[in-house]
Amino acid sequence: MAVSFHAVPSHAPRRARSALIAVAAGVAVLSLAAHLGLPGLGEALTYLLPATLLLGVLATRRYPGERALLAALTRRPSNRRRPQAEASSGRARADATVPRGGRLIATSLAVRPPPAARACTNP
Amino acid sequence: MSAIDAPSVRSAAPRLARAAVIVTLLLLSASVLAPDVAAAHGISGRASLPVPPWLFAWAAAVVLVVSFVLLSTMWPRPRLQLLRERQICAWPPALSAPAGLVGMALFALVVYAGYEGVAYYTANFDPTFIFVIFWVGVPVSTVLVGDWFRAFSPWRSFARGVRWLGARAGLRWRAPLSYPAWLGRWPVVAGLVAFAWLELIYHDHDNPIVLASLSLAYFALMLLGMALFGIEEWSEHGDAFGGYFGLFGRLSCLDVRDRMLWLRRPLTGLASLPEEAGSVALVLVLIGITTFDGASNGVVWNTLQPHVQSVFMSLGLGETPSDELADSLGLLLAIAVVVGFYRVGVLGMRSVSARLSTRVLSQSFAHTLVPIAFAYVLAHYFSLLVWQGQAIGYLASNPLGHGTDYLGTAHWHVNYSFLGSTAIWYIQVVALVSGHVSGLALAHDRALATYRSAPEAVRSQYWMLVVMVGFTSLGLWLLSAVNT
Repeated sequence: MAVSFHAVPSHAPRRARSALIAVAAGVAVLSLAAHLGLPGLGEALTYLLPATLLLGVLATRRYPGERALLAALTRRPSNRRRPQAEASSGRARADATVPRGGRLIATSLAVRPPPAARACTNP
Repeated sequence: MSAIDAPSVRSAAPRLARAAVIVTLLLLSASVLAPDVAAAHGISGRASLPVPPWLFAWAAAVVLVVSFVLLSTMWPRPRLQLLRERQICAWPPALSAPAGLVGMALFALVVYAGYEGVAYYTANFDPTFIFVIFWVGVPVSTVLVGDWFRAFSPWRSFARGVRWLGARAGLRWRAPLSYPAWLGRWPVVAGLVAFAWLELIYHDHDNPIVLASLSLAYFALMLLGMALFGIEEWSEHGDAFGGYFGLFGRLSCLDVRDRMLWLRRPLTGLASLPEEAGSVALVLVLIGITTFDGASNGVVWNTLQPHVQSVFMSLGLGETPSDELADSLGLLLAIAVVVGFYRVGVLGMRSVSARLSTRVLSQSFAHTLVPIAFAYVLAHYFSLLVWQGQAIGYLASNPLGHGTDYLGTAHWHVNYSFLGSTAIWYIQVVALVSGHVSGLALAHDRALATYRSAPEAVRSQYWMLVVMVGFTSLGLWLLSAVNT
């Protein structure tokens, strides 16, 4: 089944961009401070490396793995819906072909019974 | 086959940002490859760990990335936006009066012990009760069993008692003012910052007389607020501790409301957090306070602080005021760092879709930080709670430090072998990671409900992933620094 996504518009406001630059600059300053002799800061940067790497990738507006995630996200509900759809259509068919109760007796006794689809549905 | 019509982003990326990022990454890589001397410190000095502690932060980041992938692929529809709960049983209203009496009796004990007890902080009931049991124990228990403090709150119970007595005497009091919407939860924020300043910065913070006097002042302030704005309105918005415990109470699966005990699906209590003024600041301040507490015990702040203090001393201030001013600046700096982390996430989400303003995004995703705030509190104060919390056993028997033994427990002592440093470290790591995974789940769920398309929702959550990984790493670094 073909699935298409809407394009995500590139609406990066200037404020957001400048803030990201400020953050990157801040981390750069911290890195320099660490190497200029403030103890413990290098260790802090080691801890924060995964977050900074991720931030660096996102700051260039790249979203690694996005395509695969979206494909999986949209595939999953459609797989679930299929059995439900089949079940509901199956129930509808049974309702249409098998009149029950009083309608079954009436249909059997009638000289010219109504169409099967109408006979099985409630008025 | 899926087709994603994403815009070409390479050309749109500003050159300056790219250059700054590249420089940052190069410097960071250099930091990692050539760590300074202090990198040898860390929790490994106390806890016996098989790998360097910073590797835990990297592993936590991997856990969060995996959680992000699983959430993105296996959680296609919002599930936490509606409060799903069911009644368990009726809650007897007769319990509120004894609960209030217990709360008021404990408050009276705090005041009495403060004025009449010995002035030594380990022998007096007040410091341990206020800073360990009340400040740490109550929030932790609140997450387990719901917001029970509301029933025990001494100022609320006192005000309700006065109202009940007044009604019996034919006197009715109506609050003359309606609570202004713009004030929102700002009084709670201010109260928590003030308490944090008292605990972490004020030089005489463990003096029982000071604690008793401040407790009385707070009691009077609460009564004034409730008289002006109404008991329930002020308890909700003006009581710093009620607001703090109530916020964490939303993490609990249990809730008492409308004289019923309710059981709700985990995390759904947070989705209904009211978006009012100051609610974002409240969560960020909670994380910032814990961050400063951790940083103030670490090597970075302990190296910087004397320099800042000497600046204030050069302006003619005494040693103690300079020390307190320097630490106050540190507290503000820690809160600013936390605000900056969240701001980066919000601005990143804003860059995904211009339809939602930063203000709306900031409010909408604030509840996702509550599990993080709790994880910070639990991880940071866990050792304090399990070790120093035991002291309340003998202090309850001898609250004034005069040698009494009311409960027969005065001979108890703190058992430090109860839990080792290594076990505490692992508990802290699990608490931090669990809190952040919960935050990630809440953010993912809110994004599905907020954004119009799946690509926007997924992209926005990349930014929240950065926030969560950043907070986890920061938290683990602070914890390792505390144990240096």
